[in-house]
Amino acid sequence: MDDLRSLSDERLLALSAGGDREAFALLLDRHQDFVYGLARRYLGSRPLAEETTQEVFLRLWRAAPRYRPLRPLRAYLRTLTVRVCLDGIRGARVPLEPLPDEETLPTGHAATEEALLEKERRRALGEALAELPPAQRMAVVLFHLQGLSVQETAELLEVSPKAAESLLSRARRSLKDRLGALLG
Amino acid sequence: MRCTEARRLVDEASRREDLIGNGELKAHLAACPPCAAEAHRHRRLLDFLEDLPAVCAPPGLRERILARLEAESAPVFPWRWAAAALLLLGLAAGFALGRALMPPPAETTPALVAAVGENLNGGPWWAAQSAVFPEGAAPQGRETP
Repeated sequence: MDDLRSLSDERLLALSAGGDREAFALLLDRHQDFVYGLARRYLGSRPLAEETTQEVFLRLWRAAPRYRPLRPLRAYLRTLTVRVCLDGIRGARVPLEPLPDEETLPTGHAATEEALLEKERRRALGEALAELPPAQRMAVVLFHLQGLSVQETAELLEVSPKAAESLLSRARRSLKDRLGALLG
Repeated sequence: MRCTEARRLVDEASRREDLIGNGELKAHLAACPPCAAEAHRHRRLLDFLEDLPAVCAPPGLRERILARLEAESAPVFPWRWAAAALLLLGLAAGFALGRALMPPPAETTPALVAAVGENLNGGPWWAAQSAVFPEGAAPQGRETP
């Protein structure tokens, strides 16, 4: 196992293609937070995000023999997660479920008034995000939360860069309206 | 710069740098408190979004994924194959039993051939029937005259 840890994602996936479960488990360790985090922020629901994460890794396992490392595995997983999220959500009304503290990494705030305010802001922002139309929400998650460029966001959403900018602009306007006084 | 143009530029600012990188906008914001307030709200939103903490996968998810992988990779034998084999065996046995219990075919006699031939040539239908079903063994439903 220690030997496996030193291997690259691509090498681990090649071993997984040959049926090596330990190699695949290491890939899971490396990327499950990333996939789950993206799905959770977009879907707003823990069960749906878990289901999406399972589906993404099952598809990765099945695709392993055909995988060609043309780009980093994380970029491939991001595309896969976005596709599964968008396919799964089409026409479905997602129940809002705020992120509990144990699901987020600590940010270093002490238990002060500022920390409570920060918690309230996060809750409100989570709710406001969940109220956005799916395409706008995914654009915000990819661009603002994942730090992708407009071009990359547009490619993942399969729209033009101009359309992606428009989605982002409309989404930010809605978020500002919904967050109201919290932004003051 | 007019307020409408300034508001549009603020709305379109995707990153914090966009708000301070435009000199003309910066000058307008310095002189226009309402637009400056809007820019402040916009900057706060960008800060909130970028400062959202990373999300961790819940405990046990890794194990659930590996279990699904295990279930998916497990061979379908024996249950599905066994069920399919049993079905085939049952069909074969039923067919063999049916063949064994079926009565032997009636012997073709010259009288039968003649009667059927006559019937085909316009003779009475009961002539052929009495040849096929002798001694009143005609099927129910139509009476022989």
